[in-house]
Amino acid sequence: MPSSAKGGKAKKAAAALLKASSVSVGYGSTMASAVCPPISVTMSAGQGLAVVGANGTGKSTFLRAAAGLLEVLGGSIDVLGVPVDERSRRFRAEVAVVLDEDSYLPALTVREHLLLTARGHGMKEVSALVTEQVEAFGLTERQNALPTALSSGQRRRLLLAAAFVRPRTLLVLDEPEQRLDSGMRDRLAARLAAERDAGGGVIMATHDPVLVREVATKALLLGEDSVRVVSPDEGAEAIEAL
Amino acid sequence: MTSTDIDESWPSGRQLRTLTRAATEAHTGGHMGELVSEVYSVLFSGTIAVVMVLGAVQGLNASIHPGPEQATVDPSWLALVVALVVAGAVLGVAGRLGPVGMGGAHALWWLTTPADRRTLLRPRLVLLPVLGALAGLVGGLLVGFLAFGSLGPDLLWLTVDFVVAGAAMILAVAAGQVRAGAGSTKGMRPAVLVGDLLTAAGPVAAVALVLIRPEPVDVDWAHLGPVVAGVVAVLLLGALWWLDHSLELISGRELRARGSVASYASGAVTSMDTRELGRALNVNTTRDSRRRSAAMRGARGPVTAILVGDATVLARTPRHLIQIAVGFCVALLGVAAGWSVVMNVILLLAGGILTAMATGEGARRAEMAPVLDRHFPIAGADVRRARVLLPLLVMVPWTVLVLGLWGWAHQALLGYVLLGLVTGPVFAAGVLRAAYRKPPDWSKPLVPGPFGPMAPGVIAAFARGPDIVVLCAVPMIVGVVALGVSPILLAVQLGTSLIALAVATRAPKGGGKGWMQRMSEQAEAQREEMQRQRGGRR
Repeated sequence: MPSSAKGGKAKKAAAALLKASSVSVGYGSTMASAVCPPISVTMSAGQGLAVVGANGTGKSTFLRAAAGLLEVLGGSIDVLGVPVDERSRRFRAEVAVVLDEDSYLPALTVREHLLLTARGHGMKEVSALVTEQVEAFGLTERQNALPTALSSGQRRRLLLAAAFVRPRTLLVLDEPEQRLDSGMRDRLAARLAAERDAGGGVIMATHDPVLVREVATKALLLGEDSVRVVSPDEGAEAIEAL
Repeated sequence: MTSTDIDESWPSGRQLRTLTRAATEAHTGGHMGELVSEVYSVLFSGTIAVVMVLGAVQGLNASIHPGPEQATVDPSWLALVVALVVAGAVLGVAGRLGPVGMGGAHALWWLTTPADRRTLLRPRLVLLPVLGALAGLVGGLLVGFLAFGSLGPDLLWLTVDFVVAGAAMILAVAAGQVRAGAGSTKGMRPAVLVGDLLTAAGPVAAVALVLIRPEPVDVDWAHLGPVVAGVVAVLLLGALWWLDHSLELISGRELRARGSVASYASGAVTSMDTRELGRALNVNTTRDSRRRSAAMRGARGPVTAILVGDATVLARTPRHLIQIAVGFCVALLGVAAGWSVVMNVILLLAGGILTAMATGEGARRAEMAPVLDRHFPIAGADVRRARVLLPLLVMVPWTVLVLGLWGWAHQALLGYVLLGLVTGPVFAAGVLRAAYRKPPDWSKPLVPGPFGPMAPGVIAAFARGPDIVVLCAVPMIVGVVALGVSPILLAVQLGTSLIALAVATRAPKGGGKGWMQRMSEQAEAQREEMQRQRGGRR
């Protein structure tokens, strides 16, 4: 469930959770290295934004920029009403990010990773919450295993569980469906939809049309020559047509 | 960032570190005996090598002969060369690794929390000047002995200057990170550029000095040294204070880009894994793209494809090319300075290992991503043999040249050239063995160590590679320090070189799998075994 315990839900609801204005993204240092045309999009609390497009069109790159992990080549991104700056402790407290990263503290178990995350966000009495998320992500049998002993799908579940075990206002997910079985994908879609309905924001890059239809309230369709904001159905159809 | 950015309910970075440490320590249970046995095995290998050399010398009724009595270049000038290389290495390494950074796992699980970065990063900030001072201590002693030849106020103050300067240099690079704020992390950083230029200037200066042979320099360091130390120490303390109050300004991007690259650097430090360190040193300076792709015409089959790939990696890594040049200078330093033959042998081994490590990047990458080795339609053992080709192609000419120059200094050119020819493969085997060594096993009970819990096998992993070099180069060492080169010695060295190659290129059963895959399979087997046992009890 999204949390606004760190202050001002009404204030936040008024401001856009994410506002990208003519943002150019890429991995070089000049505009020539932009991977797609400039992006302009806004999303508010209680909305889901699906970022869709073919491989290499800049979905993950845009998400990294929105998460403050990549410098934009041009334009600006505001998150929670202020320019994105992941150095801000409030930003880190309110924006939960799950990218395509697969790193773990080598000696810590699945459960310990989640306990650490919850406590790292200032939560007290976290044991029951962790147990709940461990069950929700089907990791109960493996909660005392080291991440190196997990399958790649189970490690993905652990990363997703870490996003749900902490307070958050905005969820940023890069292809959350990756390496998940179909049952887990369905449950994840339901959870993300619940997150959105509870007033949280979800922005996700995805290749899964079901996820787009169930979670997104709009889709950002990225292409080499154009960027468009379309309806979830159009976004899902674009994925199916790829 | 403003003052409203602080919320008392969030834990401090220090608390987060404490939580992680407590969880890690919950998994200790390994015995100190394991750590002791690892240290013992490393010391045992080294002792065996020394005993073999001394035994052979005594048994053959020979005596250790002195090195060339005349120095080729005045040691005070060689001191300048070493000072350049040491300063360049400190700056280059610090710039590549951050020096403030956070590895992949810590970046993912710590940097994403609202814990403050000042107290989260403080242990690293404390560690930085200590590491810089240690590097300065080693460099200062080396330079001091070269410049002054014996203990005394000159050497003492020069060493003190190096210690404070080493610490100050690292902090200066860290200050650059903070000053960059949330700016770009792309492109070559000044510290890396300056460091590489200084390091490269060392060998160039050495060659120039050998050609010019200038008059000795005489500096009264006993009087100049305290002034230098005082000034640098004030700067050092100021930088430390400023950094401690500014750590909050380092961006997560910078910390991730410099420190992590998926835990390369911190993994290397915590597990003393030089292989990981080598990977880390490359990543931050690797270009994202090239103007055009090479035609790879030399690749005409699986073996040549591997060779061409490894050679391309080497040619495109300036740091490794500089490393080869520096290794060459290290190996010749003792001879040029007229040092004892035992010191010369130590420097030859150190220089050889340093050079060989530069040639093993392809093998190290393949160990990390086994798909690179499985890519070609040849057996695993043949892939290993192919991976040793580039180290052989570099190290054999290297040892021929180095030992040839030794032979020239000892008036025994041909014998030493032949000795170089048969010794080169030992270094090539060493780098291959190091590249494919087993990583520490974090799933076993951890062993308490001086810097916190350690995985069993850490020290063994550290020594794997250099161990085979030291052991299999014993005939060469015996020849150099006592006997001189003879046909029998050459034959024995050839034999041990072939043994080294056979050991290093042996692909174990289940080889070709990365450490992650091997550990997953072990865990799967354990799980199945437990399930079987449960079924049996029912």
